[in-house]
Amino acid sequence: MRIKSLRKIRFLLPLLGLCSCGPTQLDRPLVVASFYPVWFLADAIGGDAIDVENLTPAGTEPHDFELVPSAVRKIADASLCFVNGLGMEAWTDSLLPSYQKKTIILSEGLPTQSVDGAVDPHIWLDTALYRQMGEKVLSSMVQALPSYAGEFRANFASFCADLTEMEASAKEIAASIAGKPIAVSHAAYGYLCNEFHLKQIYINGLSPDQEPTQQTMTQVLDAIASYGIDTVFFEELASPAVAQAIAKASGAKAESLNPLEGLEEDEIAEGATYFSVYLENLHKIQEAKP
Amino acid sequence: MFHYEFMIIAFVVATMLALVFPLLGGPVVYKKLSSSGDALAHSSLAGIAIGLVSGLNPMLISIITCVVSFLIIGVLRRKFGKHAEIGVVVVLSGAIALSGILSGYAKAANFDSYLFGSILLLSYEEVYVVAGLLLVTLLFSIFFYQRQLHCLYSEEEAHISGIKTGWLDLLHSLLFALAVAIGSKAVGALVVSSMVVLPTASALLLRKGYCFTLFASLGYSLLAMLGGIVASYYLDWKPGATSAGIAVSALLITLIVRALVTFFKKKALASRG
Repeated sequence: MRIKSLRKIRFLLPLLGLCSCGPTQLDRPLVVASFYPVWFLADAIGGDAIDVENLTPAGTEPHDFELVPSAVRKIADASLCFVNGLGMEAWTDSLLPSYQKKTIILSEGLPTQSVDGAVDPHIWLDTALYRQMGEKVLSSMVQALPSYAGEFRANFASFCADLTEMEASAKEIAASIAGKPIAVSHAAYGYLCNEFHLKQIYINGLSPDQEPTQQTMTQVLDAIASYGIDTVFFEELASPAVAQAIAKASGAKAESLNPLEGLEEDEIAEGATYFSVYLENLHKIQEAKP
Repeated sequence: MFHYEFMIIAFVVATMLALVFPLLGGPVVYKKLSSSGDALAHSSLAGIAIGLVSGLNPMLISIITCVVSFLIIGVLRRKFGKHAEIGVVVVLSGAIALSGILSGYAKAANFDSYLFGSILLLSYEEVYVVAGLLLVTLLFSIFFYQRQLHCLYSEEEAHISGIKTGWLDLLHSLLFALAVAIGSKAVGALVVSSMVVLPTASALLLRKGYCFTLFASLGYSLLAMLGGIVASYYLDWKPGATSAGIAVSALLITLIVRALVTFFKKKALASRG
């Protein structure tokens, strides 16, 4: 009787095989980053020495991102997990203690701004703060993977050179756009506005996909009319519907502006980087009226 | 797969919830209140929204809103008599309205994490909470097995024979609400509503006795929850949605197999006759 019932579950035996395979053996150390600007930093500093993977797939809005099994597996396998913090990655809090130990929150200790009383997480749009985030990436990578320290430091130096070069180009544009009001679909540009003395008129607050109330719609339309704004900026990764509706109602044109939360796959393939998109944003703001 | 800490936890919690859901969901199906799981899942969202906005513990508030909602469903069910389902829809609509309005005031990212929940991101505290829930559910199901069966067969008869049906109903409501609230946090509101109903529904298709149906529903539930986790691991799908998909597929396959069996039985009878 007992043997018979054992036979019945014989077909389950191959399942035991699933338990026996050991952890994924990696030849190169793996570091993961929560979304594009964080990944860009880690990848620039890690360079060819290590593997750096972006947990948020290209073309996905980080706010909408939900961890799939492969993403959690990557966190488990990685030596370090870099996140921006400030509520961009709601899942950080629910990670197991052993995974939280290797999670580095880059915004920690940095000065932040707020929008409507909530902390603005789009801290990577401030180039000075972005450099500081880079320093934090460098120091944690050096600590976790000391054998690659030399390469990391060299990579960081060249990253800083590129960033400084970009800042120089940005400065040339700065004078022409100072004081300009811009209409945007979501209040992602607080840090950019602070750096270039812009004024953002936003339809949505910090969350890109919220539905605006009728009150905000009227306020935004009034502001657009009174400043004589001719361009409403939307972001490619979120739904452009609201910005398009506002543009239509006010007679302005809708144009994309990338808060660098993520890039599309083809943009990356065409060689777009944090630097190129940042400058492109400024050019678009320069072209917009008033 | 099992060398990952998060997968072991997911597996353990999935197993426990897979046992809890049909044990408490079964009676709900028999009472013709299948969609109340959905209504309660949304009530738990409303509770979480209230918690996030007011700064109170979201989990606790969601348990309270779930219990209150189920009690309201119970009252409306008696009011509407034959059209008992209307009560469920009323509560569902109220819950959607409340969570929709309040979620505008809560931090969206926070709210979303409760909306979908993820079995891959559970803490040890949540494992203990689910274990406690399983223990209470098992005690309830074993201790009140006969009485519950009697009640489901005929509430009036059970009442006349001296069973305190009101109390039994209340106790079951409390546990069911608790299971939905805890389940919503662990695997997401959307998955809970399907997991409390589909296993029992599939088991009912087998047309056997109460006890057999109960165990069959546990089987279906385990298949969906554990199958969902294993499949999602290899296919890189969202675990909750995969579980719900397997539960629906299992139901449809059971339906088709049953239809084929009856068809061939009839054919065999006809050819013999």
